[in-house]
Amino acid sequence: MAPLEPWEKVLVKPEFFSGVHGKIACVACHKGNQEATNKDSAHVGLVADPTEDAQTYCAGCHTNIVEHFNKSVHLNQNGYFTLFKARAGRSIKDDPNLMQHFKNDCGQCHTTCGQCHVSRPTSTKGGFIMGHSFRKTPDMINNCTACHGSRVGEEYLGQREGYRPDVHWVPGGKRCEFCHKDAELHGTGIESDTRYDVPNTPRCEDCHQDKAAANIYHTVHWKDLQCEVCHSQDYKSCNSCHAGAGGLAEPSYISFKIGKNPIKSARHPKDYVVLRHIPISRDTYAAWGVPDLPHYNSLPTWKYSTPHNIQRWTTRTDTTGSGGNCALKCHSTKEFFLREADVAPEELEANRNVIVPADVPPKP
Amino acid sequence: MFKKEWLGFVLVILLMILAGCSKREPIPSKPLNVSIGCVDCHTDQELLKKVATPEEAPSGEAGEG
Repeated sequence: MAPLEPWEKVLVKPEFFSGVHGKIACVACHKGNQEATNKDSAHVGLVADPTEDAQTYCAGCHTNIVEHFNKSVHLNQNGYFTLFKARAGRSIKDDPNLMQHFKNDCGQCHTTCGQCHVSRPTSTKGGFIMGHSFRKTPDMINNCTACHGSRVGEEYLGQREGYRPDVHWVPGGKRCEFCHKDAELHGTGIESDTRYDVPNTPRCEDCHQDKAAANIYHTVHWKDLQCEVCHSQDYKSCNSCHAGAGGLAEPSYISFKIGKNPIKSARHPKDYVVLRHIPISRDTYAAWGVPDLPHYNSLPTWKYSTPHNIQRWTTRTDTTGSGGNCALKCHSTKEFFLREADVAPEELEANRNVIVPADVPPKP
Repeated sequence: MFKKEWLGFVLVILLMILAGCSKREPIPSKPLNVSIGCVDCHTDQELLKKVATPEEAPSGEAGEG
């Protein structure tokens, strides 16, 4: 995503005024002083993103959306609070000091109506996308992958050297909203603890249910393997991150690991899924005054993952050299699976439930 | 006599002018736009180029997923 010039970020284009929102006085939403004759005084009291307060500025017309959005993970970042509490044994929300750190380091990553429908997200320094015009559907590059870019965008668009774009992107150019509908992104009106608890996230089966018996591999594994186990290319993991102290402690890396499903449920029923190492370590929050996470082992550091780099033929499904026998390829390649030896000693306990036993998969 | 007074007067005036020129006071800022309103500024590309505050570019790997 090319950076915007500072002037470009705030240039209102004539098209804006022909839309419904362009008929509203600037100060009605943005405050400031419209009688001023210089920049500084005009901007006194300015509200750059009025949709931070969607209840006041958006709900009048978009009542249902705002009502749902107030409980969506896009706004409340519940996943962060849930997982911190599980590992730290206390809530960020109960501690003003932690809450301030959260706001400084992580809070910018929530979104607002405006940061999807008007401008780039604040976490990427904002800026109008179409001269202040409101877009009903967010822009894939300027909005979606502006935030979800370090993994999803990079994978999906094929920007990672040596890897192909997702098959849903090329050919066909299916944009994010093809799978991620507004009802999912705006929320259901019910709070979810994490993103994977959101009840209406897309599933491969929504479109591909007719492939359940398309070949012998699907017939055998449709119920026990997450689709990505066979159809994902390698993807990104990170090892540790230090909040408030420079971010990633070491560079991200590309890997591929199949593990046991850490969030097995009616919505995520498969036994084996792809896992990525998330940027967490016991001292991740040291700069927040939390030198250790006393319940670090309560959650795996190898986490359920849904890479956006799907291909029909991958190192698992390409049976070239194995006489067309997929079992030979997959069941004989130990590197595909997360084994005890792949896990750092200090993380073994945390990942005990996702490590694949030595006798799985059975030899062909 | 009258001529001397006249020359002295001119000299004083010249000195005052020179003294005034040597005082490096900032030029009073011109109002950005004498017409009223946000629209006048925010639709004026050239004006925005002159007055927009420079920013540092975001750096490093950013974003969850």
